[in-house]
Amino acid sequence: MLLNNISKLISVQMNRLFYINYILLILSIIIFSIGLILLYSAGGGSMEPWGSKQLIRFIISIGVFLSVSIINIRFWLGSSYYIYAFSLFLLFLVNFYGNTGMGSQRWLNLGLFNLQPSELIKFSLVLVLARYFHNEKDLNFWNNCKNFTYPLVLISIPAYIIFQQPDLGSSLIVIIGSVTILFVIGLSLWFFIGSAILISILAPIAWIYLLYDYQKNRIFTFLDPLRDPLGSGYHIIQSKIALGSGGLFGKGFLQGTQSHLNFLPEMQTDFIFTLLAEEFGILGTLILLFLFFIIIFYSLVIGLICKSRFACFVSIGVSINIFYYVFINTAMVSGLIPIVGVPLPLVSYGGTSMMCVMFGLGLVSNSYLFRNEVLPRYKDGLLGW
Amino acid sequence: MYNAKKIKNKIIRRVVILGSFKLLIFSVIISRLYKLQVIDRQKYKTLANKNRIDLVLHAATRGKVMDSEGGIIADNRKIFTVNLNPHLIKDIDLTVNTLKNLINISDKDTKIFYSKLKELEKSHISIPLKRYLSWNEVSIISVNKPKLVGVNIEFYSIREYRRGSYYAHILGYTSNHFDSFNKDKIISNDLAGISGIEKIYDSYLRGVPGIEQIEVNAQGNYVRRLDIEKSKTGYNLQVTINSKLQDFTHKKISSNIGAALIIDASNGDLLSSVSSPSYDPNIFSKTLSNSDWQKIISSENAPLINRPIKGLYPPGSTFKPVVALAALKYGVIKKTDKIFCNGFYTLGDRDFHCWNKAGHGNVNITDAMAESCDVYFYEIALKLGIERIAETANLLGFGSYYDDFFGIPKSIVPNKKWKNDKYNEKWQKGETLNVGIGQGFLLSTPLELAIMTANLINGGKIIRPNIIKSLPDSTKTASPKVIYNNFKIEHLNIIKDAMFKVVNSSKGTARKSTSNDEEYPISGKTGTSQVREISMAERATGIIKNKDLPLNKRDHALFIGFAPFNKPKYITAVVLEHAGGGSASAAPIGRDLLIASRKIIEGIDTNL
Repeated sequence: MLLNNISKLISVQMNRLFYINYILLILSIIIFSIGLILLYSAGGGSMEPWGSKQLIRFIISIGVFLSVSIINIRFWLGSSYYIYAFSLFLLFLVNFYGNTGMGSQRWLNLGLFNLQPSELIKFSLVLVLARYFHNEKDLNFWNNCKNFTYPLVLISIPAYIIFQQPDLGSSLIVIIGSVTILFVIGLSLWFFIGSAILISILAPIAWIYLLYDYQKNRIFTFLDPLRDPLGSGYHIIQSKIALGSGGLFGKGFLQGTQSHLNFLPEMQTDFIFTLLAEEFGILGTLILLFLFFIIIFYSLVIGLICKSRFACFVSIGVSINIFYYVFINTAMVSGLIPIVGVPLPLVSYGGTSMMCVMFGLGLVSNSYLFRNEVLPRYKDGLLGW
Repeated sequence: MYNAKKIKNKIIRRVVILGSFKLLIFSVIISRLYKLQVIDRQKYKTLANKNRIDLVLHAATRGKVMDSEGGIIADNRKIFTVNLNPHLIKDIDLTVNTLKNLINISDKDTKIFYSKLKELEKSHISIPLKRYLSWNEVSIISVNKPKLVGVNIEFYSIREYRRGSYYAHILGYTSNHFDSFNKDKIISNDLAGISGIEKIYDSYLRGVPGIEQIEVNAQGNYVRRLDIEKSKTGYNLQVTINSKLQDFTHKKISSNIGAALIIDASNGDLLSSVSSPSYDPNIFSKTLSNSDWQKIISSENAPLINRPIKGLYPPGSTFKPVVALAALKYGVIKKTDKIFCNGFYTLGDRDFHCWNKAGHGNVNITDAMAESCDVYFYEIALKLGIERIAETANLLGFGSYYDDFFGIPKSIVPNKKWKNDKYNEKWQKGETLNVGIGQGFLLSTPLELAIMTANLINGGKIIRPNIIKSLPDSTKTASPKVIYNNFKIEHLNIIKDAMFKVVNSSKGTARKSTSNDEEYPISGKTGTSQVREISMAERATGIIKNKDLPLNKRDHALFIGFAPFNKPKYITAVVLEHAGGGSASAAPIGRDLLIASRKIIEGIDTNL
């Protein structure tokens, strides 16, 4: 009887595999393949030291994607707070036991791979915000002080911890990403106008008391990279040279001079986009951007066709997060914004980031699978919007 | 109040706004990429290449230098060196020690190697450990090549001066640093001219270095060779010097300290130019030891100075033709005017003495030149004044710049302004008298004396000295325009006749140096310039004879001469330091040089 039940449950789950969104999966596989080609090139024409490791991680990530996709959406709705709490716990752990890298504590060494909880929290926040507003009857922030305060607290705690690590980039993505989600959910435009005024007042104070010297340096360097061409300006100068010298069709696979002669630091992680530009030119960068464009807008569309608020908010939230990843990474390597450590999703070498992005895309796929599911609100038991 | 439809619509509106925002951002990123990768791609390609491409320059074979007959006087010799390529060697100390066990390498060589290694770090240039390898050493290293990674035998060029010290001052020498810096780039095996023709015509001789493009990584380490462009051998230069005449001149004055030169009267070509003492420039081609160098520079006879061109001497009586010409030009005196010489000339409370204490009696300009009467020249100099003397001297070539080889002469033709600038003092009349006999502040080079002679006896044609037969890119091959000076030809002829009498009249100061050949009569002017001031006390007790003075207090002996008289072909100037009287020591050498010029260049013997 029990066995029968279990096998029935499994077969239901397996059946769902036929209905999940394969477009997202195929897009992410294509994007990953581009990343793998670049990691092969970065390794000097070898799968070592990065390619093979990343391939294994991606295979695991596909497993994560599929599992997240087929699990009933009610499970994700129910466990949102736990996932958020768990991520927050890991973030705390990092502050005590984390490994130091690039002048800040970001990683937890889990033996198999280094876990970067700041990546995880971005998607946990999506879940928890979706869950919170799923339950609120009225989405008008100003009528209800709680509606305004709770999400702000949920966002500020991880943002502050990440800022303390210190990882300004991730902290900014958490804040900007969450605020964008709030905007979609219905946060009044006056909030943004008010924040803009507040930020312009607080920014000088933050500059003096909150920013570390290396962070200030990055901003100075962004404004004038040539002021220290061999020091803090080096990254941005070499990165732009690599990008520009690729021209229309690039120098050819494995022929990048900036990357292979070590002028480009971090070419396998944050600066992998420049490696693409150098070896495959604007042709390569436009193709990759186009693929990201499809993923981002496709997720938005999925959000809009969902019957439940939760599924809608989750898809839109994931879309927003991936969008900011891509935007900040490409804008920083092309010298549009200061350099902050942000990976290019699915392309940059690194386990946590990829796993989290696949987790996020899994949630989008899950929303798609359960798009017609109407989830009741716990509070009033009402269905629908 | 609560309206699900309204909320949903609001969210759709917000998503549309978000979508537009994302589209905007995407187009910003794409236009940024378009700017970097399409519009500015050439700029960044150049920057990327600048990042990775390093240039190593390899010196070209240096051009040879030939004498007027085409004989090679500066040549290149190949030597073998054992070189280490630091970028190909893991443990340099180990390689050096392995080589030390194979062949004999001195500590000095090792020290030079390590200092070069430090200096040329990251330049990807191979550095010589030992030079001048013998055949035996070359074969030992070749046999052991397999265990000497990054070690190779290379040819290096060194300069070889075939006639050694005979050409030392004309050719100069090259540095032997084996590499030099050129616009921050190092040229390996580069010989840079340090003095003489090697220096002045370095750009012709050096050729164009070969360029090797190598790829380096961000750490500056060698990755691979991209391209190599062959060097272009430097131009061969031909000088106007006749080696046989040069050798002869050298032999004639080598027992003295001084200078002798012969120029072609028609065009100013230097046929020989000798500075004594000389040195062997080949020592600079080897690694010069410090003690050798010290020996050269501390020698009190200053062998490095090129005396014919740079040596400064009071011209003494050889300057008298200038004063005489000025006097004729300004009408201070006529050819027939006579001045009485009683052995001294009184100006104010001071007596100015003639070399002949007994006096010359009544002398005209020709006699005064032939017998070198000082009193005559005191008087006309005083009448002329210093300004007119100086002007005439400058017109005859004193103080002129010709080209970098001859340089800017440091000679002095004083005038009032010069004295005021230099000493901030007024010019004294007595000083004009001293200049009138080629003494006082006056200083000139032997070359200037020869050029002055040429300008006096060539019918007014202005002569410029020249040492290079032809340059690859010069217009010199076309015969230069003949320029004449403004002196009257009859005045010039009076001077020329007087110079004939100096040698060929019974009273002439150089009468013992005549050629006795009517086909080839020699003319000239002697000079004896005082190095010391003769005091009143000494004049009272009798002037001390030169041979009784210490060497460095003795007079300089000078002679300027030309031959043949009617159509002068050769001009000589001889200056012998502290050699006593010009007529006794300089004039006979001058005569011999003029006769040798005819013999060597035209193959005609002259009766003596």
